[in-house]
Amino acid sequence: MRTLLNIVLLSFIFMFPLSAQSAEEIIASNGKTLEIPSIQGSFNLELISRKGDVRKIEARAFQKHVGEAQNNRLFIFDFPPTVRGTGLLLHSYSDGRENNMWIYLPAVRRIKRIALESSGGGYFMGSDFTYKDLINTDYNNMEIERLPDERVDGQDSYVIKAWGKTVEIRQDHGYEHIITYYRKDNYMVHRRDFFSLNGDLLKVYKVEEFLDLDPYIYPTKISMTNKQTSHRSVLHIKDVSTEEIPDRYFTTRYLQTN
Amino acid sequence: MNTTLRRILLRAGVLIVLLCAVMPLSAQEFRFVSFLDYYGGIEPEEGYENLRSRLFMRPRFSGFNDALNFEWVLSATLWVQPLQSGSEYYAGGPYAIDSWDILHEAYLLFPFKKFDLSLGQKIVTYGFADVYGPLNALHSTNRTPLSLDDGYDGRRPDPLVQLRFYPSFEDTIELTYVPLTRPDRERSRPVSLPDTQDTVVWSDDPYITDNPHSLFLNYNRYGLKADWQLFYGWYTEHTPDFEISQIDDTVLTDIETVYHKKHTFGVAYSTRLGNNTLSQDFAFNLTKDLSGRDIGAQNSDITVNTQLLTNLPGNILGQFSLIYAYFFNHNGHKPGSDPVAAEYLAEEIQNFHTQPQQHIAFLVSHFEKSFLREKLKTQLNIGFFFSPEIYLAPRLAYSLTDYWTLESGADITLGDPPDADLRRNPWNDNFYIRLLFRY
Repeated sequence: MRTLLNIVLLSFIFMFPLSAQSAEEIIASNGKTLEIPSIQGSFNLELISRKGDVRKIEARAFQKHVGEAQNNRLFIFDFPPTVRGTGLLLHSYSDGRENNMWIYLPAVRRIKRIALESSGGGYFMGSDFTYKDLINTDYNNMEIERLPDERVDGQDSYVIKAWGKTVEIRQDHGYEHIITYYRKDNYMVHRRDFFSLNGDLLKVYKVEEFLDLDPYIYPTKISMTNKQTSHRSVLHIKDVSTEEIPDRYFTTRYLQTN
Repeated sequence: MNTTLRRILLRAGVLIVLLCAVMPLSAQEFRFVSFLDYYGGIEPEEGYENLRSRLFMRPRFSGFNDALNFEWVLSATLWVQPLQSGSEYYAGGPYAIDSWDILHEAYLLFPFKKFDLSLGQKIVTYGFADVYGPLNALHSTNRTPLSLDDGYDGRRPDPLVQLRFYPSFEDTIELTYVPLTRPDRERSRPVSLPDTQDTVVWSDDPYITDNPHSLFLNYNRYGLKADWQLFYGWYTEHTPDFEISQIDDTVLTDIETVYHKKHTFGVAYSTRLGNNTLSQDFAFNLTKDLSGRDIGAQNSDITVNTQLLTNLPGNILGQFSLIYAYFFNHNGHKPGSDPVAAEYLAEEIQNFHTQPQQHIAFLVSHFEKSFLREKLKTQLNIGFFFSPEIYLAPRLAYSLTDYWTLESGADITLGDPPDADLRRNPWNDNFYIRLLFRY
């Protein structure tokens, strides 16, 4: 009996500091694991239809954190031939500033400023990822609530529900709410469920493989499954390097010359 | 074309042929676009007719020489038209591409820390407007396309020297010198003007050799809130003016084309407007004939293109372009001794220069929606000219595989084709089907 009591007490001692974490603290801890100063790799996106047909998109991807709040991303597409040479440059901000996005269209030799990520239905190149999914979630515009911890997909997880503060924001995101599962051992988001504007489960995001770059974590295989259409997109990131990327990569000069 | 110039062009041609032979051997990247298409005429009053079928190929080689630190690009355009039209407007159309048009882009780019230097034949784009961009003045255009949005038969690259200076990551200052530019592609046959017994004779020179040298200066800033361009061009206009020696309907006259210099001062910006992107291009075009007295010359003008890119309900991509132009001293020409002939010529030429009235405005709308995970793309282009003549261009593209695409579309104008003698595009309704291969 005494042994059992000790175990229970010990369990509480170990559980308490973690369980006491607020949703904000968990999100912040997750954010720190993603603040890799520089990372680049080959990006291979498979679009898998319900019938099993597979289409591929290949790109070179570059990402760099600039200061506290700015994250720069660059994609140069290599496949399929319809998008070969197209470049996408994103400057995203976590401090409430509007994101900037430019696309280089080689067929017309033109760089266009675009705001398509604001479209909740604006799916990225026919995949199950929206442009919004590719940009850091801005929690400044969202309500968050910590739900009871769960063991999901074999992982002990913190569970956080988030939703846009207003109807307009929810429409802008394209989701009524999202539920995110953070691994307890490293704070990595290993699953995120997206619910459509009418409250039904729409998509499930899963991190299937990742690189542990202590203190950072970088997902290298991510799947997004549309539960309503059974379409699935799997993103593989290979040849990952954390060597510093020059700032000039995230400029329009580089966008149109590579 | 004088002998010295012919010799220079011949030597340049030999050099290019040698480059064409050697460079693909060391190409690091190869791209290829090819298609087979068919256009059929469906103008109600004229019945069905075969307009053309075209086999098109565009290979593109490129690479980077690490030892000498330069990038090179070499591309060509090749096409034949096994089926040619016998219609009035396209009779005698070429069986194959003109040999001067075969070489497409061919240039060397030397990147340095703060600037790039490009030498060769290259496509350069100015302004932010996608259609009817008033700052997009460097290259000639095809004035007789079957589809107004034909991406394979439009602008031809010009030989140029371009210096791009990058004082910061956001700013670019660009100076481009074009020694010789090309005329717009017009109808090649002489055109009779029956009311004045004149005949317009087009120049068939591949380059405008009697008015060389064009300069373009552009400042570009890609900023946090907006992108900006400041533009100045002093250049040979690709659209011809007309040298009319006599305005008299009793005298048979050959009217020849002449290419004048033009100044364009411009400013353009592009910015986010909520979830939309707003762009505006402003241009002040100063032509040879600011006073408007030369009946054969293009007038000076101010043109503004306002473009809004937005996502419409149903996830339809929409782009709206409103183009407005004001022409200085419109109809300010001297009537001369034969006012009736002058009136007729003025109307023909004002229409040719797209300046039928002192103020013109038209709206071009583009709608695009994808289905089947972007395998099927549908588009609708609408040109509204504030008149019954509405231009409709539906488009359909289906990706058979990653390399093969089947495209189809139509170009339909409500109302009758205009009866102007100098009109370029017959405005005859057509449809097309195209099998496209991209590598």
